Amino acid sequence: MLSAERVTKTVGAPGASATGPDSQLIILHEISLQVRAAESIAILGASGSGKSTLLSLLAGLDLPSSGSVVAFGESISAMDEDARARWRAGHIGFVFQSFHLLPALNALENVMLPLELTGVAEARARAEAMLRRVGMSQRLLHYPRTLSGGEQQRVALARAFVSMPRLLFADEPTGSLDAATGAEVIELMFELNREQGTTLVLVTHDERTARNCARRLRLAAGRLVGDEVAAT
Amino acid sequence: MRPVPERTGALARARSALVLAFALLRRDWRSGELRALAAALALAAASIASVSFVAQRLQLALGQQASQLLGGDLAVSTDHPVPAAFVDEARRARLQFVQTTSFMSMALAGSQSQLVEVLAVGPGYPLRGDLLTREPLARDARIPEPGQVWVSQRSALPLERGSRVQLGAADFSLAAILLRAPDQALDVFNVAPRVLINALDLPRTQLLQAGSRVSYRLLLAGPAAAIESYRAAMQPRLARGERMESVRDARPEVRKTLERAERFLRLAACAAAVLAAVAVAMAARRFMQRHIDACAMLRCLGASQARIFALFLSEVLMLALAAGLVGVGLGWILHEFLAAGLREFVAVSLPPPGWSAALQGLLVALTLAAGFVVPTLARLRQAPTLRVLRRELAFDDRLSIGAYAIGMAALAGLIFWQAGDFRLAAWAVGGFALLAVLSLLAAWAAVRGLAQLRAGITWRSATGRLRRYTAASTLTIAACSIGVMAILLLAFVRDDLLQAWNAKLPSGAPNRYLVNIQPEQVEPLQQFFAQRAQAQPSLYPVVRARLSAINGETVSAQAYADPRQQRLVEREFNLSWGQHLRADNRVLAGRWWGETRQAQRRPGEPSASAEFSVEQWIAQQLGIKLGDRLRYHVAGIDIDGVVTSLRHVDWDSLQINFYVLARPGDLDELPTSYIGSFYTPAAAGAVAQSPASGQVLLTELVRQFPTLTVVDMDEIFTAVQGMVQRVSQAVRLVFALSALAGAIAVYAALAASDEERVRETVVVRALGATRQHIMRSQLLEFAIIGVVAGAQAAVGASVLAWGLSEYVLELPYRVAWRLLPIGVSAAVLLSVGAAVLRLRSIAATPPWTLLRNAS
Repeated sequence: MLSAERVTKTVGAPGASATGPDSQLIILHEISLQVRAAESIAILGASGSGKSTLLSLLAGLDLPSSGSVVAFGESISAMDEDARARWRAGHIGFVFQSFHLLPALNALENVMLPLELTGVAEARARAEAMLRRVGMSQRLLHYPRTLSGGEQQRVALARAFVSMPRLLFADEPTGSLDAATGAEVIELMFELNREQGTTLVLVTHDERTARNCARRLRLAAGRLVGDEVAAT
Repeated sequence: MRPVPERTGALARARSALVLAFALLRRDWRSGELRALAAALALAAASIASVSFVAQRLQLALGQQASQLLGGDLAVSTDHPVPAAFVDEARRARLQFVQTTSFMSMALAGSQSQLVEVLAVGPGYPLRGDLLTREPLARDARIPEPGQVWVSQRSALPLERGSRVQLGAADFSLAAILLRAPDQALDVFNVAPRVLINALDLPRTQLLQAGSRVSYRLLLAGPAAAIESYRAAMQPRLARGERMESVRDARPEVRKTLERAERFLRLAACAAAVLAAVAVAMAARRFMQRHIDACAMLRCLGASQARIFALFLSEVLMLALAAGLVGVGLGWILHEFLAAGLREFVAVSLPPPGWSAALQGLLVALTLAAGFVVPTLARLRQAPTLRVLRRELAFDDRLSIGAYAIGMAALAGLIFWQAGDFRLAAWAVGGFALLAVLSLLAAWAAVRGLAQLRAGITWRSATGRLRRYTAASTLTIAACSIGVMAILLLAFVRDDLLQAWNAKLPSGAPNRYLVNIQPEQVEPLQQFFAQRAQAQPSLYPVVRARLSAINGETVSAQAYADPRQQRLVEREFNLSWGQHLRADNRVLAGRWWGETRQAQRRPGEPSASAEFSVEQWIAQQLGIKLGDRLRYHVAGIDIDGVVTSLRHVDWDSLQINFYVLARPGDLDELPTSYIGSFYTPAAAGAVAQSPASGQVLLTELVRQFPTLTVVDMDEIFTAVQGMVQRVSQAVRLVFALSALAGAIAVYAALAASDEERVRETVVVRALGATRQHIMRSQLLEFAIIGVVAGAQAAVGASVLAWGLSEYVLELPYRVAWRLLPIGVSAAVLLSVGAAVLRLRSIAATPPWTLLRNAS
């Protein structure tokens, strides 16, 4: 359902001349991979290995310098920015390390947001139900700044799952949380993932978190160096 | 090891703190974090400095222009030769000075004779302004050579160069025809055609005999400060029959024009100050937001709150000083452009401004930094240390109104200082405070009310942002509304006011005054005008009288402290009478006799029952109240009467008006003459439609009535109207600066919310929002801001214009409803336009780039 074909990402190297031999810094080098429906994949690697960049390309948040990303039969790397936005609205959910809840909206409105972007009816009722599901029914009208880190990530999970996405991308979802809260959030995320049968792509540097996934890809210096399937 | 002395330790600590603050300043500057604040402070300094530079130079220029009417910056006028002490002091103070002597005399030329005003002048005359002659003079000729006479073109004498003119015992050769002399026609009642001679010829005329009525003047010119200290030093030494005249003591319309000019400019400076303060407040907020992490890090490293505060305070003050200097430089450049435009309008060259304007700019930057940045620094030092570990940890960066109290107090102080006029400053402070409160209430109500409306995601995210950031939204609305208000005042209200102002100088206002009309000449004079199908002149009876007692107490100059009041008491009053209250007069207290049953006293009744109507300004000056009993002394007769009304007189109408009017019949049988005024197309030397016909009429009038003095007011009109022109030009430019400050304040407001906007854009785009949706939602937010701000601006501009009209300019005000649609459109255009410029790049950047930046 999602595949990357020889995806490379380069950026201009700081301080190098535009045409010199070291002018381009290679972040990702010819990555190819296939993600099957309902699969859960962890992308592991040290800092700077390119794992977040790979996630951004797979999610259509950025474009590869070469190669292509195809999802649900469509080449998202060939789409323009607005087409990719519509594609994301229809198929994708996100969980970020820094939660990225909108401070101007309360918990309920934050969760309603993706539904309203696609014009879904009964957005409020569905958002309320999802917030109840993540244990935030007492905090519906609270603004993000009045919520703890764990609570904010729960709201972010509700926002990610409320539109029942086919693909969920999670970028270090426990990176801003303490171990206990992080473990709760991961547990909740995998529960929801199982309930909805969502395909999950999780970026982490934490082996323990990654062990929750059926498959683990390892990146080092922008290259795919390992693809392990967990024993069932 | 020797212990380090305590004092050295404190010094070393202070030095290291300053070095650290400077390093922080450099780092922040390189990272671009200080630019918004620096720009706002520099703008504040630039606005105030440029306005001060221009205002200062303009005021000096206007003063000089008005000085041309006086012939100098200051005049000491005496009815006896000017005492040597005044000349010595002028010499000591290194002022330019020249003495003049003037008196009335008959001049003979061939078979013609005419009453003229002889003015004997020495080298250097005039100190201000120019003598304009019909034919060009020899290069060095500035005054008549001994044996020469220059005669005013208004004279009925045959005006041929080389012809002989006799003054007293001396014979002169007519060397030039005088078109304009500076210190002419300042007093309507004592002007005859002027004849200029060299002071060396005075003894030869033998006209200065004992008992001659002669006016002596010492004209002085020099730097404003030197003139002021001369005035301060010599004022107390004035004896009876001696007085000082500056342009402010000259005709009321000149005085009022200058005062209005100052008020307009000062008000514009106030508007610029407020707008700059809004910009600084906005930029300070952004400064705080961007320094929360640095602060948390410093606290983490062990810096106390006090130390952090001192560190950031030093940084901000260094920045304010640098920005202030840059601002003053910018202000100088800007004011040079303004001055270049003004030069075409100001006849005199613009004098250089003083250092005080530059100092003002610098102080404004420091004051605004202290007033609006310090409260945010105080908040900043409370940044939670834990943010070092958990950057997402919330920090409530909102500031209460109380936190801005210092800033607002500083701003109010600044306005009072800038305005230099308590009433005007109180008006401005009150107006802006009211506007701020109304802004807050209206924004709050609008934000809450609109958020209640059920609508789609676009509407909700727009109103959600407004509601969540009520304080920031309100400030944005306030900045936008004040900016638009300045634009409205600039583009519309200013024109309305100036039109009303110009309308006060009607084109058909009298431009000729007739003085010394004897009662028996009234009828022939009316026939003269009737035969030539000319509009009849307005004639008013005049009885010259001296005020001798108020409520039975003898009036003496010594009873008054102010020299102006002393002079007013000593002068002869021109009493007149009239049955009806004229259109340019308004009764402020008491009743006009036209309204009482005993409207008119029958001739022959005792004079004890006289009634007087007194003009309010003179009443205030002399301490005369309604119901007071006044005694006037006229040619050996005492006239007693009661003040039955106080009047406001519109002096701008340029009609003949009187300080004191008596009830008709009260002044019968007293020696009376008449004065009159009429309008005729201007004579040569002034702007005119058909100068020839006007000139013919005047010549015939003078020939037929040789004892009559005709006073030409065109010169004064031209001077006054010229000043109005220059003032309106200056006001336009100064308001343009205010509008610019407003625009930058709006920009600063937008920049202050940049980070939140970027963060939000990132998230909604990651969640699948299209650029269209983002633009729609944010443009809607700014459209709402525009509508609320525009409506406020229209109301604010109307209220300000009303206040200006009623209390400062004394003009009638009409509510201009068009301001509402114009204000709203302008504000929406401004806010949405600024938003489009800022949002375009945000919406176009790939979300991943923004996401990384935002993290």
